[in-house]
Amino acid sequence: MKFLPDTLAGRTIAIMLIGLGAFHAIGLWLYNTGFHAEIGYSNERQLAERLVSIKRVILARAPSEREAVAHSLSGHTIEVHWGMETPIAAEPSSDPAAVTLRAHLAELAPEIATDGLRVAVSHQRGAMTKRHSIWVAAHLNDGSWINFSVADPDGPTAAWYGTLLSTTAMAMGILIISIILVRGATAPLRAVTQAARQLGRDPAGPPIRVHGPREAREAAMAFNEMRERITRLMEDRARTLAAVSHDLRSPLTRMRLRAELLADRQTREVITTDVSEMETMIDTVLAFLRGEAETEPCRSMDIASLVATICNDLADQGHDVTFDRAGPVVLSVRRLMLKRAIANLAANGVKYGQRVRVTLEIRASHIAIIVDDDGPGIPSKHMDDVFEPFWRLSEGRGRDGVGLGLTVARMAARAHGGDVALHNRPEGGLRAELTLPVQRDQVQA
Amino acid sequence: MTDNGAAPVPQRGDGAADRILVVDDDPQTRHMVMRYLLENGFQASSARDAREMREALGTTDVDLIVLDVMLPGASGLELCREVRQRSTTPVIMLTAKGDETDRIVGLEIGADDYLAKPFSLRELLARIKAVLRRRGARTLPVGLAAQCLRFNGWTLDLTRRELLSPAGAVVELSTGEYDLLVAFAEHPQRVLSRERLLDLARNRIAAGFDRSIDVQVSRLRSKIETEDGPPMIKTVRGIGYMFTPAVLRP
Repeated sequence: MKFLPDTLAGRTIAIMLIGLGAFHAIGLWLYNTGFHAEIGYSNERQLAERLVSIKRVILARAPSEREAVAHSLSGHTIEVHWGMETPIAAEPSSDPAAVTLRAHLAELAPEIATDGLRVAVSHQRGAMTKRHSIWVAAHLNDGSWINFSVADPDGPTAAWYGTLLSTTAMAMGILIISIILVRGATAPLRAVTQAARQLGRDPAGPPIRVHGPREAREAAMAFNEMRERITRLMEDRARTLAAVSHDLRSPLTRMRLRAELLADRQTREVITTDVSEMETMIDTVLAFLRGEAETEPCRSMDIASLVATICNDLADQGHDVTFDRAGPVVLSVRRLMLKRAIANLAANGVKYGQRVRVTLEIRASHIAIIVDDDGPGIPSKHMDDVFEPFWRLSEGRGRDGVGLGLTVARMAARAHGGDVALHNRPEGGLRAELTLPVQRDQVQA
Repeated sequence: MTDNGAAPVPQRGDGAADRILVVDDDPQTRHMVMRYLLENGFQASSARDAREMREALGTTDVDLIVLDVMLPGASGLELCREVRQRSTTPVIMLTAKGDETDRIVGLEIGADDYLAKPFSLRELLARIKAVLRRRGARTLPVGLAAQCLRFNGWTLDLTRRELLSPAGAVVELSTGEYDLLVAFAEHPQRVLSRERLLDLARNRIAAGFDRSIDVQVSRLRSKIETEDGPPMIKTVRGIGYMFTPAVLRP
């Protein structure tokens, strides 16, 4: 149905136009046909009456006067001749119009039909229903003939542009009324659509108004119920997360404190390292589960300083990480969320490579934070898999972490309207690119 | 990490060791923190919840409170507010890691410092000492005093521990950079030697200062100085650095 318009309103209007248009056309045709038949019939009745009266007048005269009387009876559209023969062929015409006319005349004027009545019809070119002229021959008792010829027996045709005008007016009427009605009827649907979009950004928004036709009301009610369920689910999740977060941190804190109180330095360091690792994992898992339920507000922030701090931290831990800084780049972001995303990409860099270079590029519609490493890269068939939660490259390279770093990074970028993309660099190593859309007037170079 | 165990424990006016009140719902955590504090020359007591904390504050003279934000029943933030309304006793909050809201709200209602759980005992000790060292210098509770420093259009929010650019954008600073900037902004237009800076910055926070002052200064410069703008931190050859802008305290 690709030829149909795209919107519901458009489709409804098209269906109404086509349907009512066809209905109108059929109606017009039926009316015209009936009208013609009626006119034809009344013409034929008149004709029959005239034929009968002319025949009587002619019969009443002497044969020598008959031709003159016939001529004097002619006039306007009818011409009458009297003679001993007729130009109309003896065998009955196969023309259905002639057959019908003959039957009609025979029925209307039995007086002339008793004698051999001959009828011929000539049609207007291209219009079978429109007779051009008709000839009728009535045979008299004495073997003579009265020949009638009638021109334009059906009268002038109705003007074609009248039909066109009425059809056009009707189409316009349908169009205007349907636009008003259909737009009104689909308004509640559009409200549902908009609310669904809004839901993605702000689940705590107000419920939509239930109004309009029943289908739209039901859709609105179903939507409101769904919104409530989602809100409840998210609240439950937030509560669960808070509880899990608290319950896991208590034993972790104990463990860490206990380790610090140990006399044996080596054991102390090993346990502290383990605890830190678990802490990082819990943080990552919580960040993943929290996902878009993150309540952190957006704040205007210098992204360059954020990247610099992350890179400096890694450098302080002994990694070869450099960041080429080129002035502040200000965007409205969720600071912790974005920091975690960039930190995850940089941490992957130092995990799989030796040397990590980070750059910040300002492009037309977005900024890109690019993390290049000199590690082994990722087989191209796994480029998409690595973003899957808990997915790890099998070759013993995911020696720590839970396999959520890239998932969380991409989630964070997408929550900001951006994305994370990975490419193997031609010169070796992996390039991770986190893009963030730039709102107008926000970048200060 | 810098070992702070060697720094002298600050003494109260009466010469006795400072008393720390540890408020946490986990008995073992309380026990271990207390034990560590005692080993490091403090007096320590503990409370399990809001009721016990009020009791302890009513009966003993407490110099500093270590307060867990995630207490069952009453929120640690509420308790912190309550303490602030009655006294200037310093508070160090223990927050969930990555919970920005708790951290900011806590600092705004007057906590003196915060530490994310799971924390390290040595870091807690360092923060306790830093907070106690600052104790004498102030009369108003931190949260109630005007806590913003302004220079060249920049705002250093001491409560939220945030630096805002002239355009109002948050500029991310590491702990070390933040402490260094506070040291500079509190002593503007004066030449500060590296030793003095290290001392001033350490006074606020002990950890995270492994890198030399020079590295920290250069990182800080790259974040607050622009190519066309005036230099804010001037190198004074052979001596140290000077923070050039005038600092306003609204």
